[in-house]
Amino acid sequence: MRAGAGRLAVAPVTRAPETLRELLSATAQASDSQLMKLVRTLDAMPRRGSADDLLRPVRPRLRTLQPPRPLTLSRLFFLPLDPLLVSPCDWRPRRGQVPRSAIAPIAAAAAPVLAAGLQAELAGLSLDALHLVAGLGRRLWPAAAALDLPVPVPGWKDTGLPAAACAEVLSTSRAIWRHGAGLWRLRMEGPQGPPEASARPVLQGVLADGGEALGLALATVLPFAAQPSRLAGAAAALGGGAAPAADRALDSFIAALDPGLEASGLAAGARSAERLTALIEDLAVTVSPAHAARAQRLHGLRQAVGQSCLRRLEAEAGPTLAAALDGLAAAPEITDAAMETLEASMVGLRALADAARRLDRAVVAEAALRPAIAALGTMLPRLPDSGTGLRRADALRLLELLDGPDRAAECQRAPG
Amino acid sequence: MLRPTDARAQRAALKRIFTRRGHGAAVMTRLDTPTLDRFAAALLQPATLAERGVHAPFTTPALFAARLRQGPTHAAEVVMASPSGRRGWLVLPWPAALDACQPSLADRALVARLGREALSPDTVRAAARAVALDGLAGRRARRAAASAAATPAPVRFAQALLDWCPEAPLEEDRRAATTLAARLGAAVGAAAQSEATRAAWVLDGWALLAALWQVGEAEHRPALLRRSVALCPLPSEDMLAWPGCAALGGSPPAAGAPLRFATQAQCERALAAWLSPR
Repeated sequence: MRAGAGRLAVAPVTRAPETLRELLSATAQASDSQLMKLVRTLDAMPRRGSADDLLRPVRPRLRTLQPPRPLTLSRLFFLPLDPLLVSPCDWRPRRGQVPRSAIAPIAAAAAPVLAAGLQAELAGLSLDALHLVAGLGRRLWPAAAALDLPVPVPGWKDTGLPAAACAEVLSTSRAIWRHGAGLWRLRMEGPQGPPEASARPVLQGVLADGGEALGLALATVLPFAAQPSRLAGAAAALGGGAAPAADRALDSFIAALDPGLEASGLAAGARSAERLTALIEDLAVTVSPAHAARAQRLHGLRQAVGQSCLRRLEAEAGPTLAAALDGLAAAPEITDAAMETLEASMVGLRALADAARRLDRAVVAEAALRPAIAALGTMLPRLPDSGTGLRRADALRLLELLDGPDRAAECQRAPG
Repeated sequence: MLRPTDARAQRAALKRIFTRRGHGAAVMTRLDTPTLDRFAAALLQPATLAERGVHAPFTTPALFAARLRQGPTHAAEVVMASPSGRRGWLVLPWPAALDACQPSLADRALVARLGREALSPDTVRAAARAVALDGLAGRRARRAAASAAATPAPVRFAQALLDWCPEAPLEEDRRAATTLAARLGAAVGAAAQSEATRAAWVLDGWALLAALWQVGEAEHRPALLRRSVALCPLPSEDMLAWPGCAALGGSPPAAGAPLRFATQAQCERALAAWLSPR
C-alpha cells in the first residue's frame, strides 16, 4: 500500500540525463518531492527560458500538487490567462493560446510603463496570496490592456515563434486583461459555481467585445468552476451570438480534462477523482441531441475515470491492504501519527470507491475494499480498549472510514 | 417540528441532500437545495433555551455545530441551518438525522451518552469529552480530551476574523466576517455581565466556530466563513431578557451554507481544538 505517500518507485539513474528527451523523461518519472524541488529550482532562476519546458510533462500533476510559487510581476501579468498558456511547440494560430515563451518579452516590454511600485509590493509574495492578486491585478490588468506595445515586442525572437504571432498573442492577452478583475472574481467564486448572478454581468461585459472574447474568457474561468455547465449556460443565455462561443469553450474544456489518477499520491488522486466525477455529472446536463460529439467525449471520460479509480483501488487496497491491517493488529505499538496516516489512506480509498460508484463501477470498487473490511471485522472482537497497539476504537474508525458509519455501528453493536 | 405527513418526504429529500458514504465530505448535488427548500423552515426564533438547544461538537460535516435539543418526549432532535441559506432552522428527530446524514460513530455515541439528560453547554461538553476519551473521534481528540480541561474562550476568534478581512478574496466575505465579529463581540460583552451558567449559554456555539476557524487552512477560509455565518449562534427570546443580553438580538446574517465546507477529519481536528483550547 502506498499509504498516501507519493510515487515510491523511481527507476535507478545510472548517469545524469543529458538530452532534453532524457530530462523530460526523468521529470515525468520524478516523485512528488523531487518535482517540488525542481519547481523551486526553476523559480529561483532569473531567466527560465527553455528550462520551463522541463515542466511540460508534469503540469497536470503540478495542478494537483500546488507547489508554492513566488508571485512575480510576469506571473501577475499572465495569471488570469494561465489556462490559455501552452508550450511554444504546442502553440497554434487562431486557437486563443498564449505560448509560455511569450510571457517574458511581453512582461518585460510592459513592466517599465506599468509596474512602477508594483515590484516592491510583490517582493516575498507567493501565489498563495490570492487575496492580494485581485487588488494588484485590478491596478495592472486594465492598464496592460490599454498599453500600446510595439509589434513584435523586443526579444520576441527568443520565443521561437514567427513575428506575426506576436500581434495575435497580444490581442488574446488584451481580451482577458480588459476584463481581468471580473474574470478573476469569477475564478475565486469558482467553488460556488460560480453563481450566475456574479457571472452574468462579467460575461455581459466581455460579450460587448465579441463572441471570440467571450470564448477566451470562458476558457480562463471554466477550469475553476465547480459547475461549468451553469457558467456556460449563463454565457449562452446572453444572446447576441454568445451561445456558439459558449458551446465551443465548453467542448474545449471537456476535451482538455485528463482522466488519469495514477501520477500523484493517494490523497491527491482521490481529490482528482472526486473533482472529475463531479464535473462529469455536472457536464452531463449540457448534452442534447445536438451535442453527439460531447456526449461521446463525456462517455469516454466517464469510462476512463472509472477505470482509473479501479486501477488505483486495486493497487492500493485488495488483499495487500488486508494483510497490512492484520500485521498492524499484531504490532505492539502504533503511534498516533501512524494511525492518522492510516486513517488518511482509508479516507482516500473510500473517496476513490465513492467516485467509482458514481461512475457505475460500484461492484468492482467495493470488491477491492472487501478484504480490508473483512479483516477489520474479524479482528474487532479480539482488540483491547486500551494499550499501545491497535485498539478497538481505532479499528472501528478504520471500518467507519472504509465501509461507512452504519456498518461500523453494526459491528460495534455485534457481540464479541 | 416536521409535520408528520411531511416526515417521510422530508427524510427522503434530506437523504438525497446528504448522500454520502463513509468518511467523505457530504455530497450535495445541484438539484438538492431547491428540493429541501420545498419544505418550510421549521423554526425561526426559539422562545426558550430548550427550544433553542445546545450547539454540539458533531464531527459529521453536515452536522458540525448543529444544535441538539430534546423533543416533546425527551427524544433527541437536531436543529440545523438550511443548506440554501433560507432563514430559519430545520428540525430533525435523531432517527431522521441518522437516516439522512449518516452521523459518525462519535456523533452517535455523543447522542447516546446524553440520553435523556438535561441539555446545557456544560453537559454537552462533558459528554463530548467522554466520547473523545473512548477514541471514537480519533486519537487527536482523545489526546485533547485527556489533557487538562479548559473552558474555551472564543474572544480571539473575533480578532482572527477581523485580521483575515484584508485577505478575503471577495467584498461580501469581508462584510460577513465583520458582521460575525461584531455579533461575537456582543456575545462576549453580554457574557461578561452574566453569571457563569448564563455566560455559557450566551457564548454557546462560538467556541466551536472558533475551533473550526483555528484548524482551517487558508484556502478554506471563505467556505468556513460562510458556514460560520450560517451557524451563527442565535439567542432564544428568554436569553434576550437576561441583563446585558438585549444587544444579542436582531436578525442573524443570512448566508448559504455549503455542506462541503470541511471534511470529517477537519471537524475532528476542530473538536480536539475545542476540547483543549489554546
